[in-house]
Amino acid sequence: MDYGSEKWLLYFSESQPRRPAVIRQLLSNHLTTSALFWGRAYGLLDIIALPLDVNNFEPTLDELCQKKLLLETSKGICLTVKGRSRVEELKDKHQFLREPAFFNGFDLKGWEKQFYLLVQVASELSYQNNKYFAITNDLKAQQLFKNWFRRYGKTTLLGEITTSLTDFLAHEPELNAQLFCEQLTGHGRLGQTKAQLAKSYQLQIAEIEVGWRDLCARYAKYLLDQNFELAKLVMPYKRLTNLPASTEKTYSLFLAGKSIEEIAYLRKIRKSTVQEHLLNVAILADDFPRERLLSPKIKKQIMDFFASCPVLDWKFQQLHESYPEISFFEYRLCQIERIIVSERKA
Amino acid sequence: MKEKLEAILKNEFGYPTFKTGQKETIESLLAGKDTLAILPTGTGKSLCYQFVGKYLKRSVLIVSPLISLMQDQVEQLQFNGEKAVVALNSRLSFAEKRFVLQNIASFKYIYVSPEMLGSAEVLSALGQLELGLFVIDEAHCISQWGPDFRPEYLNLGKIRKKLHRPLTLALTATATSKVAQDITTSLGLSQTGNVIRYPVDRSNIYLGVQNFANEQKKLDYLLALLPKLAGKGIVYFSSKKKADEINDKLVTKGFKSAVYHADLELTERFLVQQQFLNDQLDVICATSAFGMGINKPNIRYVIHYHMPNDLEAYVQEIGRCSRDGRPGIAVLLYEPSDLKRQEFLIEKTLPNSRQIKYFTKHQELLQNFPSEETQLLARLLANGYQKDQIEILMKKRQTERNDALQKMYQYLKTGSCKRQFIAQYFGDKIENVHSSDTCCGADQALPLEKLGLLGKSVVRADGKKKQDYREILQQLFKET
Repeated sequence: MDYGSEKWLLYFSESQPRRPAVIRQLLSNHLTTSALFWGRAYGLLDIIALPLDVNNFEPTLDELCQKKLLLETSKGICLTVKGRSRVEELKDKHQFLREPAFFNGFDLKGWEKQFYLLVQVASELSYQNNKYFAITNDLKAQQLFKNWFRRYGKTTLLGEITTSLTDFLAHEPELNAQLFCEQLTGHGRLGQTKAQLAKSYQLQIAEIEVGWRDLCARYAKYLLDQNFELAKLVMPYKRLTNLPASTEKTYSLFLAGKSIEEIAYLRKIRKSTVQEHLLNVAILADDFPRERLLSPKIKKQIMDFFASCPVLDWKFQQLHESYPEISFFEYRLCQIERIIVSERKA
Repeated sequence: MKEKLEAILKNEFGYPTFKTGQKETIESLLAGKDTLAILPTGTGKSLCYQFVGKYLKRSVLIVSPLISLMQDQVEQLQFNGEKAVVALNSRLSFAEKRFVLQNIASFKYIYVSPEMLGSAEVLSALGQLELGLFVIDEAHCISQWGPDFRPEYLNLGKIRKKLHRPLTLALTATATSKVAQDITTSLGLSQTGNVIRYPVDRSNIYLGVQNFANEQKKLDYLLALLPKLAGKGIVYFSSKKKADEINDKLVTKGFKSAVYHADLELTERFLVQQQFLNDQLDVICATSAFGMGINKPNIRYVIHYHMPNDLEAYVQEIGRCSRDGRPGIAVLLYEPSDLKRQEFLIEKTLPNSRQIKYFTKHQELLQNFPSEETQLLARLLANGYQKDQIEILMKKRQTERNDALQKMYQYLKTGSCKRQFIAQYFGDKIENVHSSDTCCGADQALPLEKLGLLGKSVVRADGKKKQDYREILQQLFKET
């Protein structure tokens, strides 16, 4: 089975044909309001900036359509029945990312380098050796580690790394733990490359890659959750916020009590831009104070109007014909709220 | 003085004696003379400046053309316990670069890419240092007559002036007399400078060429030859795809082989290189990205599946063979479509007149095109070259590179001594040319037995038992 291209099937559904464009935009970190909205609606926000190569996305979809795993119609692309059963097989037999949300908001590539270095230095230290080729020349990783080590020292390092890796891997399937450890480099031991592991375990390189990233990310999360001192090496790789800087500014002003008009004036941007920023926050943050922008009266009008219609089938045009005074902004805010409520119910 | 130098060599670097040309170069520099040292591959050129840095206890600035080479040198110095070493190149993030520049005086060995030296900020930080030595590594890149010409290298003369003409060492393994002259003139070393030249010849390496009617025959030969060879080796390819393809075949046949090229992530490159250095691999299928700065003394063979573009590259690449002085073998495999491929590659890596015309008008678009020819164009434009100048220069480059390729072709076709051919090309005089049947040869059985390079023609199965992951963790972290 070609896991390399078939992994894309995991993000498709049998009933939502407009997913491809959303998937592409989210993976490329191209976060328009529309991409974020549909990402939330389809439950795909966890894939934002996931380290998957989107370069061959469209040709791969063509290939999957030819294999009849996907079906292209005038509305878009959906999973076929055959595709659905392949997804089940994939989940069953192959590595897949079980903590993708961790990527969102973390610099995984940076953390990977830090982790390789951490393991190597700890290993060499445990043998009291300081003459070795460092696995990475990444200055940030080296500097962060030096500072951490000055503060916490050798005993904490060796104690925590052995305990955390042993406990973390004990809860993983044997093969995943095995593949993970075979890639580690330390004293008298060079890791295997992904190609070498693929050959020796008769797996595909893509699977090994995904498995490595998955465990690398979840180990970082484990360090954070269990409050290890080593978690302080994970934190510098957390992006300060998921929101773009401009959206963040708008949102701060909004939280400080400014109206949309005031924010537009203060920031010298258009009112519609302010509204877009606020919609983005409303999509990403469940605790967004929607009630400040959506009056109970308007909310009731919208909900009554679409009472018997599933939330993803709402059409603004229909509402507009009956209630021309309701803006698209208010309509969208209400729709986001309904999506979040139905997610909670599910 | 002699004893003092040797004592430092032993105490600081752990070597009992100097290699060819090292001492002469160091003495020339310690006498305050700017020096161009043309030393054969494998003679430890970098030791010359490391030694002088240690001796003078002052910072050394090293201009190096390739990021991978820089990284290798940095790693080597760090491995030897020298921590005050840094590589200033495009791989650094903005914050890292700022950190390095603010703390520049704390580094003893500063590697820098020629592009970085174009930045006023970098130059101003470096200008604050009292440099002990200014080094131009791979100095043949300065010469427009050389095949590896880099436009930024032309500015090094001016940069040297701005740095108050520090004591300078230009290093290369391969420079014809024309190139050598160009180097000294460009750097302004010609009046006071000292040129130290040793022949490029490495007499312990047998030079073989094998011609084939087609690629299949070439491949069959390679697959039959490799199991016969004793020791470790490198097979070079011009294409990443072909390197992958043949590596797969070798791994399937049970060889301990790995691939090394620019598509590999940095950690993977580190692992492959270290596995090779630690004798965990028998053969590396590589592009020219592999090998600069590789200092493994017991590489016994270097095979070229594709011919390089010029003799300079060929001599550099085969120079990685048998650095311990024991017999080694270099074999070049050729089939007729190889020449066409290299001609095509040469053409592809230089911008054509349409691209020159378009991009000189739309320079802002160049950053979207990462290919070699557009990046060369970007560097030329950034260095103030005009459209007409670039067109003339590129035509000239095309001719020069085709001429260099023709020389390479003549090398593989010559019926006379290959060693003599190389010596003549570089203007060297060598003695004892073609002294025996272990010197060189074309289309004949390789003298593996005579050279002591005949292995057992059996591919060893890797009988090592796989470690359980818990055992790996136990091995990694020794209990105290």
